[in-house]
Amino acid sequence: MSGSRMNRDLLRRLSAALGAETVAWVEGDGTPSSLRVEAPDREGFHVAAAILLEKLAPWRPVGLAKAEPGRCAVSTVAFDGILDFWPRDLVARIGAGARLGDLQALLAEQGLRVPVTSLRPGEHTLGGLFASGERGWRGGPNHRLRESVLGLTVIDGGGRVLKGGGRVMKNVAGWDLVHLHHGAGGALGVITDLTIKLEARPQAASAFALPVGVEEVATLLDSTRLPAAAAEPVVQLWLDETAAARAGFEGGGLLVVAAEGWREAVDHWAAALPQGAVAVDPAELLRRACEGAFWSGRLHLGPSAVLDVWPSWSRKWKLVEPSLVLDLQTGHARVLLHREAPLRNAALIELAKAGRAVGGRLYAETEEVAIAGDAAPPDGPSSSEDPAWAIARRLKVAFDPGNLLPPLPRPVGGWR
Amino acid sequence: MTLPPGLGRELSAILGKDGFFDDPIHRRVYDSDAYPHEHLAPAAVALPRTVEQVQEVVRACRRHDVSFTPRGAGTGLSGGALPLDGGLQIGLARMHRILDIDPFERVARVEAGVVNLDLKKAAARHGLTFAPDPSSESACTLGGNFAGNSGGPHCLKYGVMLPHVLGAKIVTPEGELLELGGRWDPGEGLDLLALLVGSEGTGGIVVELTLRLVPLEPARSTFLAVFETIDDAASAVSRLVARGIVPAALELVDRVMMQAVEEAYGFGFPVDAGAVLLIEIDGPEAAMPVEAQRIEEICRKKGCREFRTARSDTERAQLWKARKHAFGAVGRLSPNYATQDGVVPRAEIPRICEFIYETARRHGVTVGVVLHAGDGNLHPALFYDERDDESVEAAMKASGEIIGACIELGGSPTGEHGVGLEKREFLPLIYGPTEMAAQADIRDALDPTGRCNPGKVLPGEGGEGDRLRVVGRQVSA
Repeated sequence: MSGSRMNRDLLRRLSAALGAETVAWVEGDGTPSSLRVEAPDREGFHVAAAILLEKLAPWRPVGLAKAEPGRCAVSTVAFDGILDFWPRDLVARIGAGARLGDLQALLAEQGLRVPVTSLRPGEHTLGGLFASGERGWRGGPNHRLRESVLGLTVIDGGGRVLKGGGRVMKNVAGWDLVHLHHGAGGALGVITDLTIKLEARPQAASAFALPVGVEEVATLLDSTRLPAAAAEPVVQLWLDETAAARAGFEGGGLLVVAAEGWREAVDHWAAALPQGAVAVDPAELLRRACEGAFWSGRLHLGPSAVLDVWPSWSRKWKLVEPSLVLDLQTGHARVLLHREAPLRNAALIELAKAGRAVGGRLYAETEEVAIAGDAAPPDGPSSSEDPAWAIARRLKVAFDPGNLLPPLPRPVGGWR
Repeated sequence: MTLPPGLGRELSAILGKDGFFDDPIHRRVYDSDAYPHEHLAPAAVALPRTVEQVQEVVRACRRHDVSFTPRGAGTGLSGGALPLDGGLQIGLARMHRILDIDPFERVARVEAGVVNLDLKKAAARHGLTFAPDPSSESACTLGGNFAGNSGGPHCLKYGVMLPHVLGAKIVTPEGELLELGGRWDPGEGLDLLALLVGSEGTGGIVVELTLRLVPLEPARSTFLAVFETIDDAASAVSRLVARGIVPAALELVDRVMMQAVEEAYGFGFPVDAGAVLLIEIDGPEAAMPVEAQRIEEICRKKGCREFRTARSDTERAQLWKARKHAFGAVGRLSPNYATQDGVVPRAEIPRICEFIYETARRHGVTVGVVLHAGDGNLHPALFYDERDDESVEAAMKASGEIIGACIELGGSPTGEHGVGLEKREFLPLIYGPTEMAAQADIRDALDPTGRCNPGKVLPGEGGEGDRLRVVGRQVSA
């Protein structure tokens, strides 16, 4: 069956089952159009999924993301809200389509929160955050959605409705159906709800920015890490001069730190900060720093090495207006380019080379920036030798036998 | 099972004289782990010292179609390291080098056989620590912690093993080297690392780990809150968490266990109390008095009759000894005990405790309970005498009923010990047929050969080892 005929057939089936107003053609910019389904409710979502599976039509769940050419997009927005709430356990089952911002506002009324952050909480859905494996801007090993999800429900590519995990804090019963979907980008199943460990909102939270040049950041890393003497901050970011300027702080690099907890402890922490610290909203500050970038990537290198590599490279490639946001707790280094220029690929390749020289990698989204002379990507899905991809492919066959869901993302660190 | 003769020769050549054993004495040494009810001897034992040796051993097993089971220190409580199919036991204890500690990046690279506490000691020299702290930390290996996604009393605040694993090298069942994650936070992508943490050695043999270290907190306070009833203590636990207090540790010990500890060590603990909470907080100095005051207020409101603060490191060590050595103290009360590892939602702690005592009474079994109360993870110790079949049977029946009740209350049959051999039959009680099929799919994806630690986790799997199963008795293969 030709693609267009299949689409027409699909349109008919989906419209008949869900109502014509829920199915629409979405035109891309010069790309073939694709179908987008706004499932009116949960049942509608399941009906849409069943039809797509029956018709062997490639599809993907989307929160608020755009449709993708050649792949029907089914909105998960119908999976919204708090479905179950166990207040004495501080656990809730939440629809995967719930937007983080709405959810946090709702939970704040109860003095609670989901321990995850996003620079775009009004746009990101909970399911999307989990499926993308995105880490938010708050650091620390436990401030990540992966560590807060206790259970989930998915519809896999074979149409099986699978429940993984549960609602208790610790659970090692069997292989991990929950983390199988973390960072999988919906390639192995469509998450419909997540059971999440909530936490009480802290009594007090404060965040400050203070001017700190690149040389001083290195010193901090080498010694006590500011302001560890008083508290272990929940945020510890360094913005280079360009990022700081875009965030509204002229005159050099910027350290952004935040702490939370009991009022007395937070006040004590704040009082111990060096003079010149200015109270800030870290999310807003970061939004401003990242706004308007035309290219965004991640330097996977570790804080010390990033600080070694960055100054000379960024000076050399000023024409692409590069900026850096470095999470000193996790080592996540967000590289942004704010000005398009003919030599930008050369600039990125040079940064990738500098990174590789000290054992790191530069990624644009989830793909590594390739360097001329590279062999075929060792971690590409076509490689038959890489054991990480071999496992990933077997999982894909088991959980998406018709290959109808989105393609697999790169396994985390799955290179040799 | 006996190894094909050719394989024995190959393994001897790979590992040398002191790295391969198939004599009855060595096989007997490896016929059990800390799960007391099964004794299954491997056909032979391989003790590699390098990653390359592990790869060569696994490839040799592949060529000869022989199963293999990895083992760390054998401290697992669910029989996960026992070779159900006979086959080859691959012990990692000789791979015990700490390869690198980077205090600036707060990262350690270690071989899988490094003992948990050894890493803590090495990290402490840099003002750092490795957070997961199973009670067996002085013996258990980090590779075993990886396989079991281990926790410990302090995982309430710091999390279990998974968030502390940045990268791993794993020898796949085909003998290839799988490298996942790395030196820094792994970032976005298909999270195979998270899938393999806690996979009980069924997806390959972890040989090297890159682990996150955390700073030693500048201050620490430890408290003992004494309650008349378990209900009151459990209620205080729920209230503490709801108020946003996340202690580093929050442990509950019941009267029977307190009596055992007191009889063994004579610390002066209250033996007439229904339960005690052992609470530890750590963090910045400035936060200590505030948090301590809030904790005491909540405990008092919930019926705490006495609230003690450890005034010195010695006192603190004594309080922890009472908790960590509680099971050791049981030896004074009973020749044998079976400990369980169920989990319930925190709010169900009073109900499950009531059920445990009632069940034990019904079966005529003495039971003492220790709980990681903040996590709802309970470890009831059921006393029995393995020389008395009726006593063994009663304890096992009670144990099974307790796990069944945990599941009914919305919990899990295992919070940190793993499924191994012990809990295989419980899995279908928490997963339906579809999920069980998905479980098998994951297993097949991780190990299409079916040779790596066969027979674990899924019910109904198993080779000749099953025929040797005798509860409470020693059996030689």
